[in-house]
Amino acid sequence: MTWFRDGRWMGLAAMLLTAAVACGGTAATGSTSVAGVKAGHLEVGVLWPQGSPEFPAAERVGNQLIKKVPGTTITYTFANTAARPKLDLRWQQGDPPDVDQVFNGASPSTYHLATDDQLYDLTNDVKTTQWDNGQSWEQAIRPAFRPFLTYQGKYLAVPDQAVLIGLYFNQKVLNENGVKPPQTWGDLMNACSTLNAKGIAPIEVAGTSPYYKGMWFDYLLMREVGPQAAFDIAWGKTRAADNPGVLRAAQHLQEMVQNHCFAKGFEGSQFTAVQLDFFRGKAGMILMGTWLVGEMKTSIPSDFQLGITPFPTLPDGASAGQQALFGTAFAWSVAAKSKDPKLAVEYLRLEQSKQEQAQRAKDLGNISPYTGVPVPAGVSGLDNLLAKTDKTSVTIYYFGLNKDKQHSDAWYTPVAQLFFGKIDPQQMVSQIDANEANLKK
Amino acid sequence: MERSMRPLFWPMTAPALALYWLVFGIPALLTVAYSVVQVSGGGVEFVGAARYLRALHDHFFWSAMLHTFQYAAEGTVLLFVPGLYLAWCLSQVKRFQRLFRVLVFAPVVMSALVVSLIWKFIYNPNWGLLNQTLHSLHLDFLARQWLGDTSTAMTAVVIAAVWHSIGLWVVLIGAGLERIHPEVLEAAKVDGAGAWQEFVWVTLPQLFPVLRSLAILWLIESMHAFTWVYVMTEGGPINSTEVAATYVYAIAFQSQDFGYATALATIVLAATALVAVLAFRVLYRRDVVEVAA
Repeated sequence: MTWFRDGRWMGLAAMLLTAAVACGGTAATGSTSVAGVKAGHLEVGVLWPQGSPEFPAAERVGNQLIKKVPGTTITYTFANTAARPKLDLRWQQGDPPDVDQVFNGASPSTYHLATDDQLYDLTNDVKTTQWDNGQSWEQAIRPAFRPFLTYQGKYLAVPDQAVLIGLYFNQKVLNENGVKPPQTWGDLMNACSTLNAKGIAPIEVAGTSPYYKGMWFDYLLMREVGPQAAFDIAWGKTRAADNPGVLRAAQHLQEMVQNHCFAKGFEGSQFTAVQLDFFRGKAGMILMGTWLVGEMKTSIPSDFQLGITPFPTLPDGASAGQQALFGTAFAWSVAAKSKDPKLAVEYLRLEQSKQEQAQRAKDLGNISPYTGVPVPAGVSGLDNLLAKTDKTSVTIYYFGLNKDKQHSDAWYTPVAQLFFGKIDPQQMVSQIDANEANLKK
Repeated sequence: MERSMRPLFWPMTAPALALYWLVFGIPALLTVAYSVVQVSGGGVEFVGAARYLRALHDHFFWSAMLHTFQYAAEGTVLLFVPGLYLAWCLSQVKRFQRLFRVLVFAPVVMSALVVSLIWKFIYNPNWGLLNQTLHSLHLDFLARQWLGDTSTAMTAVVIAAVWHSIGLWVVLIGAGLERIHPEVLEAAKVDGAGAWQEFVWVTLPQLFPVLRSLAILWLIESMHAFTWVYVMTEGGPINSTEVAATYVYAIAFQSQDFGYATALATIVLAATALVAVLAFRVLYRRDVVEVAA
């Protein structure tokens, strides 16, 4: 026992004390303390395949976790659209990855995951964990995006990206033709006639996509009747014919089609082609989600002056709908069956740290749903659009119908028919109600 | 079966039967089983025929089934008439016959995904090859929104599928033509038959067994048409190209309603079997009648 007598024990005690203090403090995102987290194996979903330019972002987070919790191993599973069928079957069979993008609090088709207790309850972590700016993790998330994370008051997902649907415009084309980014319905109609007169397509829209066409009607409807009423009509909870705003929205859409607001040949155009045309300067505007820049990154000319503005207001519409936005939060959940849920939460905390969010905004063009993270550079008006979310509601785009084939068909098929001039607004309203009634049989 | 062959029966057929059950029999039975139970998070609950009753009222599904038959019918016309003609032309060619066969067969070896993407760009209304060609030939009045017009979209998709498949049909029909004894054709000529009469009254009946098999194969293939529609139109415009396979896929993986999707898949499976049996019976009877005659 010579080590005790010669005082070396004091050094050991000091080391143990330091370690205890370090581990005992409140965990903070981006800090080096990871209380109660043990090493283990995680399978995490990622939106980019290995080898893609974006993949290192996921790996960077994983490496941070491995550094903080030595002995941890991570498998990255591609979890984007192409891989969803396989992953969805795994959830169905009770064998999900530890971290996956499966839940959205505004999408009823994902609620079964909550009611079947397949998701780990993140409420305590979100409310008690401190984020980088000193606020709790929950408070750091912009309020407009929180409903996308919860089900019956429980946090079942945490967000790493915000998405908003806005009216993108080619600043150069608009400037050269004396058109200002449209703020109201009148501005939009004027922009259409001015650009048409100059031989420029006012608006690009992918006619082959029911959703990209449908976004126009969705926004017009939300401006006319307000977000909640629009959501209820879209999901068949209330009849379209009972709300005169639906007919007015349809009439506005018909007016756009009849005034040739949409580029010639839109009916047969696919979305990549119309986006390319927009960035080639062939049109003034395109209504699109903020994924547009990341998606078309390699096709955007370096001197392209891109701007975004909220969807124009409708003077005769409901006041609740005038400023409202469509969007969502891309959010990640932890499987209730995860063997290491705390480790999975730690992975998400690192992924959603201020530093990582800022890096992703810079490298990938992502918009962060967290307060204080700068918006990606290069799109004028994007900061204003995001700031608007602090004052208004964000409704899930397509009303979440894209996750339900039958409701989506019931809603967007009549809209497409109106777009193509096959039916008139009154018929469209009747057809929506008939389709919804049919679904209830 | 001959007595000497009996000991070989099971050793020879067992691997094929095992494979058949593994890749078709068991999955098909499981599909039917899943259609009457609710599986969620590992738990199972019996729901009986509820999903089949739901399917009865699903007019989008029946509309998709109708489009499937439209696809099959259009494909039959677009595939067999040119296929037969091309095969006959090739049989008449004496020089470079193999080269021409390779050229006709080439699209078959290409991925359906790649071919459908190529055709999607060919059909692009603004800068696609088809409309550009029509414009340069001053045939602007023929230019269309090929995939964006409900009246042309399905035919446009079928043409792409036919372009991809026709090579195989030409080769198989060509093989059938080669099997016709020259003496039979000579006899027809001696009896005074012209080229057209020889083709209609001698060649076609001799080809009937091959054409019958191809017709049944095409009908079955049509019932499962997926790639062409999924890649080129995703069922649009206005659901005019939505076929059973794309609809079932969307119910499963867009709505994540796997239970309902298995019920619909079972209906499609039954319809496919029914179509195959009916087609075989109709065509088989004709064959028997002709042989008897």
